[in-house]
Amino acid sequence: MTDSERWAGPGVDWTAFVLALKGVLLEGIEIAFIVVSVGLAAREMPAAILGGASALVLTAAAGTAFAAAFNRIPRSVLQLVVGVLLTTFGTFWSLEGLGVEWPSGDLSILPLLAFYVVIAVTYTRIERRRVVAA
Amino acid sequence: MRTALSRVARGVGAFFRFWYGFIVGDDWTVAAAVGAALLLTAALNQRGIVAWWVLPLTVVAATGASLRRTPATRPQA
Repeated sequence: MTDSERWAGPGVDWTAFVLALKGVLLEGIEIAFIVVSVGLAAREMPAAILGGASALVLTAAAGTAFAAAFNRIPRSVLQLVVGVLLTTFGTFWSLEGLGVEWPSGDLSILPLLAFYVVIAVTYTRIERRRVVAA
Repeated sequence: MRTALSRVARGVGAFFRFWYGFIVGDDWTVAAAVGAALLLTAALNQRGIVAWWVLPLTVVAATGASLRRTPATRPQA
């Protein structure tokens, strides 16, 4: 985060608060759906709840421990990483939902991730050249 | 009364703008291409044709085309 992006006004940055609340609420509901559906499908609700709660604690601890380091990561890099991950999982699970068989089953998510990383790096280089040329 | 109505209209507009931004995003052509790729994948899969490659290639092509149409700007730090 750059200095120009830091809140310098009085009190709480309510725009940031609402954006963070929306993001956490949306992802939280998604996680709740995943925990409930996986737990019910496997008939192992206690294990699913324990896994979800452990992930929550670990994520909060990692976020607190590395907050300073995370704040130094440029926003554009975070957007790129999250975008590549969401595209990978989105591609994989949407085709799973259609009943498509992947060549290596669940392991196909790794080459798919590598493929999207290569494409993202390639497009980033092309865009940098365009910015320099512009 | 008019103020209340315009507040409701703004709220409804913001609601739909949020979902449009969430589902479609910056470039509707990418969303349309992904939707078409999913339909094509489903059709090919129903006929027993291996179709897992359709969506990744469409994502790459649609994103590349979208970037080409977008003016080059410096990313925010």
